[in-house]
Amino acid sequence: MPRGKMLLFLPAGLAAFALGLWLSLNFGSHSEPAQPPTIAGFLITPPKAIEDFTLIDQNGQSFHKDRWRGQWTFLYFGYTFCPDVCPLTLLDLGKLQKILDRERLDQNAAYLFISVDPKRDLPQRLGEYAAYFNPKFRGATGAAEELTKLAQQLGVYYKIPDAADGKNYTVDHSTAVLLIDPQVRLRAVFTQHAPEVMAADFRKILELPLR
Amino acid sequence: MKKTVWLLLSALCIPFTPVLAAEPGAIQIEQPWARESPPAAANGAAYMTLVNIGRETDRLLSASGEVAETVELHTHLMENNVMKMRKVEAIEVAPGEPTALRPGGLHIMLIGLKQPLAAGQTFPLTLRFEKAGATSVQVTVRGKDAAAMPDSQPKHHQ
Repeated sequence: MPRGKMLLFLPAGLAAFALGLWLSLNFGSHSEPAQPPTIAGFLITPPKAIEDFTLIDQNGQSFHKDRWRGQWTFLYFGYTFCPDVCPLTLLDLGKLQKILDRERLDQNAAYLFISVDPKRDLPQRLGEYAAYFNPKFRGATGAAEELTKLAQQLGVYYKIPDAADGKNYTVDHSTAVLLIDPQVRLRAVFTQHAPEVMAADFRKILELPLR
Repeated sequence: MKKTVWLLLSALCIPFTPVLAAEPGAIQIEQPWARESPPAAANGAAYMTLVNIGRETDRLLSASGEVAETVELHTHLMENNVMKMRKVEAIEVAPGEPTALRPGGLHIMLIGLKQPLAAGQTFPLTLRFEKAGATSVQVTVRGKDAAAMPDSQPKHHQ
C-alpha cells in the first residue's frame, strides 16, 4: 500500500480507537458500581416489602412479620411428607448454617421451614423435624389462606391436590430458598442450594449498601 | 439313580442362589440404599442403580415390601423451579446405560413407613421386572449425609 493512502486511513483508525476507548470507559465507569452482584438465583432490587401475615410456630404460637425484623431469615417452603427434595434442601441449608457460623455471619441469621401442608403437618411435629437438620432451624405453618397469601407475595408456588382427602398425596412446590432482610423485605431467591454457593451469595448481599 | 444325581446337582446350586437373587436375568441391582428418616417424617425413598447386562430393554414394573404401607415407583419433574413428584407406571432399563434411581430423580417411594428408617439397618424390597421377573434386594439405610453422596451429585441440584 502506498504511503499516501495509508496516511489517509490513519486518522480514521485513530478516531475509531478513541471512540471505542471513550465508550468503554464511560460504559465501564457508569455500569460497574451500580451493577448488582450476580447470584445463583435472583437478587430482588429494590427489596420487596412483605405484607403482614399470621403463621403458627412450632410451639403453637401465632406470629407476625415483626418476628423477622432485625435479622436475616432464610425461608424454605415444603412439607414433611416429602421424602426426597425437602430433606435434601434442608440438609444443604444445615450446611449453609455451619459455613456462616464458621465465618461469623450466622449470629444474625435465622432459618425457617414453613410447611405448606398444615392438614398433615402439625406445628409440634415441625419443630422436631426442622431441628433434625440443624439445631438452629425452626418450623412453622399456618392456616391455608395465610400460607397462600405469604407464598404469593414471595413468588413461591405450591399446589395441594384438589382430591387431597386421603393421607397420601404429594404437593408440588417451589424449591427456592428465600432470603428476607432485617427490614422484613424479600431480598433474594436462591435457586441453587449448594451450601458454598448460597454462602458466597449471602456474603455478596451483606456487602451491598443498605437501602 | 438319576434322581440322586439331580438332587446332588441342585444341592450344588444352592450356594449360588443368593448371588443369582441379586441379579435377576439380565438386570444387576447396585447399591440399594435409603436415607434415614427425619423424626416425624412419614415417608421415605429408596434408591439404587439398575444395570441391564442383557440385550433387550426391560422394565421395572413395581416394588413392594413390608417397610411401608404403600410402595410406589416415582419420579421428580422440575419445572420452573417447581418440584413435582409423580407416580410412574414403570421404569425402563435399557441395555448399556445404567438407570439411576437417585435423590431428586427416579426413586422408590415408601409411603407410610411402619417404623422410622434408622441408619445402619437394612430392609428387603421385592422388585418385579417385566422380563427378568421378581427379585429381592436388601436396602441399606444410610445416615442423613448420604444425600451428599458423590454418585448423586451431578444432577441433584439443577
